Amino acid sequence: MSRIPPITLHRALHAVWKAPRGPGALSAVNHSVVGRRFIITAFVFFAIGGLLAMLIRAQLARPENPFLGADAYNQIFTMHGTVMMFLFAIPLIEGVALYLLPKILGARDLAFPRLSAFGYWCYLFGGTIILASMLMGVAPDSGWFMYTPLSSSTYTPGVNADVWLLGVTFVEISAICAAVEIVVTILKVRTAGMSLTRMPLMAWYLLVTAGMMLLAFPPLILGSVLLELERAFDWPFFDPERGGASLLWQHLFWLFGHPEVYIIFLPAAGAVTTLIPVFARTKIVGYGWIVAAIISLAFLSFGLWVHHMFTVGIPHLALAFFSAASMLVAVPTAIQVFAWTATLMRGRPQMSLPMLYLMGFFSVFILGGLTGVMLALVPFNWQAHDTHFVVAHLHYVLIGGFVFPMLAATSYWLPLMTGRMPVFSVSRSAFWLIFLGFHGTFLIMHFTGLLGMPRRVFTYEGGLGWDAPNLISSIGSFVMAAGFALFVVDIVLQLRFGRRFRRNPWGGTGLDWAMPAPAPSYNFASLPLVTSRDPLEDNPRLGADIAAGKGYLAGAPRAEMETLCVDMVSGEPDHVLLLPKNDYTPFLMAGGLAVFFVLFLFSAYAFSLVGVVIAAVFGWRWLWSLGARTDPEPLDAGHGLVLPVHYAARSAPTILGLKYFLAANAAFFGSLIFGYLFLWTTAPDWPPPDILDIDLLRLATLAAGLAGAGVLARLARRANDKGDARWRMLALAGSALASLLTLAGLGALALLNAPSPVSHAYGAITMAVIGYAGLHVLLGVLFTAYALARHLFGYVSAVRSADMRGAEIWQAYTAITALAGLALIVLMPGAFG
Amino acid sequence: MSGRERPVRAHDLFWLVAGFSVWAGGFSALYGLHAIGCRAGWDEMDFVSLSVNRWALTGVYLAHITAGAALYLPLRAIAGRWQGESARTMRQVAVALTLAALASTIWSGAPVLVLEGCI
Amino acid sequence: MIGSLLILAMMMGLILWPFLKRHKPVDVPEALWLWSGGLAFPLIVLTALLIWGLPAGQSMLAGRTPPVATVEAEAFQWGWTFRYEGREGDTSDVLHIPAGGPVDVAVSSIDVIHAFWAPRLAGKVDAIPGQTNILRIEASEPGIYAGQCAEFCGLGHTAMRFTVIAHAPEAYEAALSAALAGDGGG
Repeated sequence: MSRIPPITLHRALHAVWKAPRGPGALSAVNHSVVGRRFIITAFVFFAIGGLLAMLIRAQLARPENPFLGADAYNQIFTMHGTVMMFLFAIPLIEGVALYLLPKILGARDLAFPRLSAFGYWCYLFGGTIILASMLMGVAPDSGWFMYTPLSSSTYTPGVNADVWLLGVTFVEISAICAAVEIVVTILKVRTAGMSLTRMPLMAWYLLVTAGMMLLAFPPLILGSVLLELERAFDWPFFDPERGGASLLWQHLFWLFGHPEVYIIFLPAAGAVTTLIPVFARTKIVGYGWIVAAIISLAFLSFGLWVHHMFTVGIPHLALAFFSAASMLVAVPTAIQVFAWTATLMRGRPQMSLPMLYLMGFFSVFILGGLTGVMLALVPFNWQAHDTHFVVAHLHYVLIGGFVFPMLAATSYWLPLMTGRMPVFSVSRSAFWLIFLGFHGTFLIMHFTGLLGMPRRVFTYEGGLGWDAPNLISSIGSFVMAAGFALFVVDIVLQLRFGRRFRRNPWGGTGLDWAMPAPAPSYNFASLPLVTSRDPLEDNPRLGADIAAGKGYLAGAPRAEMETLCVDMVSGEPDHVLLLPKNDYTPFLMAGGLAVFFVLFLFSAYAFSLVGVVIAAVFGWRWLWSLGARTDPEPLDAGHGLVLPVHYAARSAPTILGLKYFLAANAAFFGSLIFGYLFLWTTAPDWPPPDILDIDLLRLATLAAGLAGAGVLARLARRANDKGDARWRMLALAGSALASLLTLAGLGALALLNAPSPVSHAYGAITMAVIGYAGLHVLLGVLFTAYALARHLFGYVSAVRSADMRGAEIWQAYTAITALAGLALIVLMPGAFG
Repeated sequence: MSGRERPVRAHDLFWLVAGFSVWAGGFSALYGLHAIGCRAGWDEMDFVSLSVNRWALTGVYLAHITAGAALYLPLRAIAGRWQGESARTMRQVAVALTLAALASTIWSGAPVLVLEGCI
Repeated sequence: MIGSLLILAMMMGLILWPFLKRHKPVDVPEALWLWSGGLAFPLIVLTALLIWGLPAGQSMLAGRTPPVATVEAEAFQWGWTFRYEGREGDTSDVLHIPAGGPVDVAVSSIDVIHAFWAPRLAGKVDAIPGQTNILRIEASEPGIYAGQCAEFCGLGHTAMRFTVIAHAPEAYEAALSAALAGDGGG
């Protein structure tokens, strides 16, 4: 390959990749832009959540303080928790992952750039709804975990709880999108030669985190949907007077809530694992140990949820399982900590700024972990639960395990964004203010809790021994806030006065530092061949080689946005992914959903469907823009490598993305089944006298329709593989028709045979299962109709088979889950009625 | 090990999650069965000097330990054939995870053997 | 508590040691380090804790020995109604128990979730609509003990306090009768 001057390559690439300006910014889909938007928005919400925390501490600074009343206080502490968890921590992780992943994997963008842009708009709109409610004084006020029945319409008649349920669900859509994006990107969109075991550990951490998000968020979304159904349409899932169980909400919430803690912690630990070897000038100890530890941690963290419910009256033996599992998670955590200490021992660590934050992380997080082990002990928990001890513990874990590492990560990677180094003296002062303020606030709060001060009280009497510790906490919190303010000042100073550098100021060995700073819009002028875990150590001139176009896919000779897709395990190049240009569709689709959520919030239920239709129209347009009407020629990737284009490749990201989305969907369905069984075994008055009444013939017809639609979609895909366009069309049409008939049958079942969803929780959850099946069959009709339309317009061929395979997978999933759901609601009354 | 060596493929990633899937299944089964048993009054019914609940739970516990242990044999055979750059680390991680999951299954279900009842 | 501080000090020592000026890179053996520190160390500590913790939890539960008295605590927004086994009437926000023996409290709620907590007498248990949870409390000495709702329950949560009065066992019946004869107060 002839040598091209880097600046020529840069101009050619930048012309294709540059971010749009002005109103066109709404169409930006590039991962650097979207990631940066996520990060900045998350920090804005962090500042808002921090202001709310200051109000809380101001109120509690002295006994009988008249500053805030109970109503305002309840809204403020609920919003503090909600903002910090859902609008700061999770989106910050998503933003960091979306920004960094392509840079550390050696790619030019993510697998689905438009999906992450869509996720960002969902997050921004959902967060805005929640924030607006606070400005109007109708913010959620039932605590950030929204226990029923306090959050039910009887006890919270206003719009407050609806804001939480709808706003958070809207934001969670973005979390699911980001999770699919992250998993598929890590598994497929890497540079040549980057096998799974050569990936930076940060990518492993994010892979595991995203996998957890796929399974942990659906229970919360299901809980929110059920509670909103109860509030809006009076379906009594959680109402004990009508066969519901308020504990069902707690199970669904904590089934999400505990893994959530690790979802927040793991990426932060990934940053720790990345930074420590860089500043110790050595390699990480125990790569394989760490991978095994984080996968173990991911699983074990799902076995802890009941430890938030030790006081709800669950039998002691059941608590013991969770107590044992809670202790077990300390082991993989200890493995990571010892891998970090061993790395420090092996190297010559320097106390540079990111390292200072890591020391803050270690001291705070270890203490938080130790109080966590105490809380895992059932007898101790019964005393400390719901006191300020727990408040102190969770802030040690979350600020220690998340905020400090994220501040370290920010100071480490910010120069990559800005091209300038931090201003040292200011940064250090900021650290010490945050660190000392933090301990001043929360160390003493352990004792306040042990002295018996419960959480969530808006004031307290003097003379109980709580006055002095509360005052100290309040002073500490203001010191910490000053520290964060100084941190912001530091960033501004860095942007303005920071010393410029050329490349790799910290001596990192990953691909993220093999690019000039500030990072160019396309990341890499050509994609390098990686042969170890530390490509920059193997070849210190790698950055210059990449810029000179010595890797694969150099420049933009076809004026397309191209990156490599690889074999999942070995990292062998597999095909070329052509990335989408900037597009307004994600913004408009999220806008449609915003119309739906806002109208639903104002109880305009029928009108709110307009929003769904808008979203569906843009969703259709989005899908339609994929692929092409002719079979593509293979592309020359350089160095003699000729690769197919992604829409002609069997292992293209699209289908993988659909599968991971369905994994999350299956977790949602599994939670629904859990809800059914939970109510059946624990709620009072089950089952009611009026149960589902269905004759065998009707049931057999429905089952045949579901199975038929699945089988026909499969036949259509197989006909397409053989190039048989006629059978492809006939089988697809048959599948669509079978789905349509099944839909009618399910509608009749819901209207004629099913018991009323209002009179008893049995009817409500039965209707929810039928509704789940119905919704999927309806989408099955749309998917097959879409594939038919694509067939008619010439987008489908034996090579371009993604539409066919998508329809096949959707119809199979629908058949399996709907049949399982029907079997459950028919068999349970028969077996246990 | 055997003559049929091959690279690590995408479907081999199954071995990274298989062990802990057994753990998760056992954990859910114990928790669910205990709730059902308590609802159905199995802890009041005795069978050969132990309550029916204790028998059922111990049975499920041992079954999952057996299943977790049984994963190890095919894993050894399959992972032994892996070759190529990723093979060594992948083999270590898969074996470590399978054994760690087995230990976790034994650990987190152990209260079944010690504690009693539905209170 | 002291154990925790020791562990913290040890870990911080390990972490900060390499930053000392005279530290030379040590080629720590990876397997030994991770097996001993990452696996053996936490497992030993945790096993000890669990062996101590599980039976301790079991012994705090009702059921082993018969209680000397059984009472009902019914929570509402925002207060408590206490009833006594075998007695007519109830008391509001004041619970009378005999000292020196275990008392079972059957805790329930008529509206949202609350929690019964008298810190010096026992741990806490949630008051959940539609179900009854039994908590065993015990006051070793006669006296007045403070209690409060420990689960956030809305606007009146902060003020949802109650009092437990433990009477000498021989004086209990008379004191209870006097309280029940009053206007429901204590």
